Amino acid sequence: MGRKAEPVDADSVLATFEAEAMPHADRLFRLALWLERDRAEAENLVRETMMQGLQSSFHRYRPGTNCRAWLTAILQHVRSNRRRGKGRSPIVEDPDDRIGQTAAFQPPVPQHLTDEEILAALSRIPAPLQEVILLSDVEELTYREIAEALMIPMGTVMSRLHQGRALLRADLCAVSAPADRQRVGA
Amino acid sequence: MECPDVRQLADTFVAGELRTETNHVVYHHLERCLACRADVNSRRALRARLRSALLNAQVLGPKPKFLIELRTRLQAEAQQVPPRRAMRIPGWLARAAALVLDLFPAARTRHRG
Repeated sequence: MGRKAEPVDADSVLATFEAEAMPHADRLFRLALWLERDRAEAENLVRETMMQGLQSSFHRYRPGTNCRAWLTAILQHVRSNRRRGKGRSPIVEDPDDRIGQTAAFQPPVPQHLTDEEILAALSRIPAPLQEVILLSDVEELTYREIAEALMIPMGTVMSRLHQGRALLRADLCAVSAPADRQRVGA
Repeated sequence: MECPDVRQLADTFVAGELRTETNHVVYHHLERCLACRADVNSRRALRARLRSALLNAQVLGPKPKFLIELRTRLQAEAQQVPPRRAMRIPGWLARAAALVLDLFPAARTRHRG
């Protein structure tokens, strides 16, 4: 009476996995390297994510859904387990420590900033806030997908995004202020 | 909706995460408020700049050697993964589920909050 399915051969699984998942390897690696700040660790993380995706989770993936979100969720779980294995807390800093620094009014971010200045500003905000900004703005995950990947409530995602973006904008405005003064003086 | 309310919702609006009704209200406010429109555009631009900065930073990219090695590892791994069958639903469970759906037809409908 139960639904029977044909066994899936290794070649077709691999072909599907390569077509669906491998195009995201570059972005997944960038995310891993940004979060870990260590190339070898990022390589291990991506390798383990892909292996786990292929070995134990790919049968749960539905083709046509957001593969990047699926891989990002695996990466976050792998990362969290690895951190726990190393005796480190999954969250290294309490973002609430800097809530008070988020200004109510934010001036628009100047347009003449370089990529390096933007990334440097991102690296200066608390890690948990960076994480949600990356998943939302770079990986373009929905709030729900972020909540599932990080295993935190949606409300926390939204509040971290709000704080993180406010801190990022404030930092970028501060960075550009001396340059603006120089430009006016020139 | 006033400007401070719109600024509060601006990032969620840019992310496309607002409810349809709220989205319309913000949209109509932006049609007539230049300052808020500039603010939303600035947030949208920062989002795009951040994405492009991260995805184009050469220093953050994987080495080609790593991607080749990853592909090789996956190929080797795929040969070792035993063929997986889709989950089999026992007959008694399927019959019980059908009975529940017959008794409680409302369970077929998903309500959204």
